[in-house]
Amino acid sequence: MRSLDNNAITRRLTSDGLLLGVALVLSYLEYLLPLNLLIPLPGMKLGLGQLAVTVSFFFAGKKDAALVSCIRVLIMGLLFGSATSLYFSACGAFLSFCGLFIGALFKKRLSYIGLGILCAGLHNAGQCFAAATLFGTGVLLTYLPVLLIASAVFGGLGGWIMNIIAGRLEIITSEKRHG
Amino acid sequence: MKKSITPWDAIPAAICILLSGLLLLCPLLSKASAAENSFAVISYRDGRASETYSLSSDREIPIQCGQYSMLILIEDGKVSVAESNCPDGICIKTGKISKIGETLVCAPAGVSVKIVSTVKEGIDAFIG
Repeated sequence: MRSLDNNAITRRLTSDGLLLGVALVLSYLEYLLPLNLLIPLPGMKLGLGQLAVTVSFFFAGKKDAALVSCIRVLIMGLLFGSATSLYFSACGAFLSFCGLFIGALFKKRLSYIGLGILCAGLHNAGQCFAAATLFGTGVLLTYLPVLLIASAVFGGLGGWIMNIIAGRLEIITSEKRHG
Repeated sequence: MKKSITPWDAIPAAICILLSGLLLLCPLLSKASAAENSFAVISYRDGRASETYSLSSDREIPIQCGQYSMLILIEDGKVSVAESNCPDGICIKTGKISKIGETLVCAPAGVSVKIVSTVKEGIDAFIG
């Protein structure tokens, strides 16, 4: 029995590590993409890293997703960001993670597109809240509207990708169980 | 979660767009309150004590300064010089001022108007 437990632990450790790796690579990819040249709005991102967190949430577990999200923010902040960007991402990631819980409540109705928009909107609200604590509440009024519209677009885009990924992942995970 | 788009997905999107519309409307309301904290300070070169007027209420302020007379107008939280008999009329051409730190000057008459505020100034720039 003990070896079985160990197997499960090893499996979990490996899959979490893998998901974290995917999250970091996607975040880095996003960091490289010159999206700001196309649309010159600071803070606007595709939110690719969120894909890995969403996959963790629905295919590995809530705790695993929390772990992946936390460590991703920490590592990205340490490698490519500054103390302020770390603070911004942490606030965004926290609210976005709450969004996953809210979305999961409506899992019989919403697809990943609705979930993506919800999370993206909350992520941006979190970032604006972080900005508001630093620069005053004016940010909330001037910049949040812009970011909210962006989150409806990019959250939906991420959700569309997630719809495709989820179908494939279900096949893989069910094969693993039965085969 | 569903794996293809459902009508329910429109709800989060609608919330985002509605909220952003609502927040965009807010500055219209907050602009009115900005005037409440702003004041026009009129200073004179000839040594008279400066006068302070709130921007929240509209008023006309006639000023006599030596041989020159002018009329300063406070309207919709903005200050302008409506009339002046000074030779160059630069003070009239300056137009309306409303932002904190902006000034109106009539050099011949030796009168200047500066916008000040009781609210602390915001951050100009942030790098990091």
